[in-house]
Amino acid sequence: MKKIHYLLLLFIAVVVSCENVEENVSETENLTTVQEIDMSDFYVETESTDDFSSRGNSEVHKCESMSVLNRQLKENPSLYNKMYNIELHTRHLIAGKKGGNGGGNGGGGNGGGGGSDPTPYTAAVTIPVIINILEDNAGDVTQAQINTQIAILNEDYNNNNPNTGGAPSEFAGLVADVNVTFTVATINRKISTRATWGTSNAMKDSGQGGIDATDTSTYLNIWVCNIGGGILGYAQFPGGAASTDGVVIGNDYFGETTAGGVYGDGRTATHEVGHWLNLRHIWGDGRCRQDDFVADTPSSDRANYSCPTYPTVHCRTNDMTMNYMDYVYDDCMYMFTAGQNDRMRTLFAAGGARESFVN
Amino acid sequence: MQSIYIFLFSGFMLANCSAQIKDSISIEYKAVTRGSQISLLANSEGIIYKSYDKNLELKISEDQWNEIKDLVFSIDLDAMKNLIPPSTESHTDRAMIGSLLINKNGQIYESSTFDHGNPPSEIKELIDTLFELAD
Repeated sequence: MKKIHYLLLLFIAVVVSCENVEENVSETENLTTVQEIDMSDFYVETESTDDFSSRGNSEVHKCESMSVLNRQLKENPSLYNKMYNIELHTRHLIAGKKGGNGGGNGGGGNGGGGGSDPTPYTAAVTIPVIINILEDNAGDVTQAQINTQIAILNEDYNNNNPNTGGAPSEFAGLVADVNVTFTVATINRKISTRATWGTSNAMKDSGQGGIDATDTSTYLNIWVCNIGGGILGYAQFPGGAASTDGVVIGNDYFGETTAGGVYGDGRTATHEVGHWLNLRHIWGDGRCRQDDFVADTPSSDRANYSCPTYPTVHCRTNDMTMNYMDYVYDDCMYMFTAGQNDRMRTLFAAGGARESFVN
Repeated sequence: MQSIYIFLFSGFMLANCSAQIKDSISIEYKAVTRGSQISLLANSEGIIYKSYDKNLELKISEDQWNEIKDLVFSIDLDAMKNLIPPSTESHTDRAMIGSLLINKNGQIYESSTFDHGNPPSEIKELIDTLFELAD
């Protein structure tokens, strides 16, 4: 009998703590003005290992995942709020595009309120790139690597990858021309004998022997260095610290290289720049119901590796293993979807996190 | 009344001991990202560790194995699949994707995924112990 009392007490305690959490979360939602956008599945990334965050796994009990979200909010409220608002802005614009499908909803009306809903940025985008190279000897990272890397980024972000023609028919109609062009602005080289740079952003800090970022509001910074730890490259989502904004690529995986083997065709950068433009991994970094926040990509519960044969089925649908945001070999990834394109392009629209690149 | 408690307690101890003797346990830790992977297999025989830069096989003592088993018994295996990771660096490729599988008497329990190097606290001690042995 006592046991039942204890269980009952425990149950009540859990229910009460859940309610508290929900109250706190709804307070955050009130920070913003838009009500009709569903943000219940949103979760936040961390920037340093000291932070806490939730994977937002929808199979996890909601109370649990919300409580971690709440902890994240307390530990790093400014990052949480920034990323929350970027996601809200993105969803608002994508919802607006769906609503105004007729193609623009009548002329200008830019100044006045109450006109058409805002939509993702549609014009061509040019992104100047700062390449920050940390190498043992001057020229270890060759000009040919730089040239081929920029060429591959331009191929992939302008739907010119020759492999795309092999897309299975169920995915062929989703292939997007992202219409983003990359140009080399500046190449910074620094000699360093440091064997590996790790993933703690030391390469982005001159105080630690690295190279400081150049104006991340108007340039994409790419650091090229030996990362180590089995990591080919890594990125930072929009909303993180400006001083570390950009992508890092291991020397052997930058541009076309023989040392990179099946990862020697420059697509590590394509994948990392996808993250820099707020794309998630195509499997959503969780189980079937954890989404990548893109409607036209199939649900999956895992990364795919090597060069998968089609069809590869997870979560009862065929995985889009050939998407740049999966983990396959360079030669086996060859598409972004229309939904991913929209998601990236919301960043360049008015109020978007990377609006400063187009204004 | 007291004797009943003693009886119950000793019964519990016996059941606990025999469970430990009988239980067949094996453990697999995996970490994977684009381009590299790490795997660590452990059972009463020893540990097999494979990674992008190192391969090794080693025997472990009975005491070491008992320590590992005790750590396994301290984990709520059914809850492993819902553990919430303390960080999500792997979402931008900044960490490998780690996971832990425990085979107990033929039943396989798999954890949710987490950043390699920063596992959920519930399974951290077990993983740290395995890596210390393999180091």
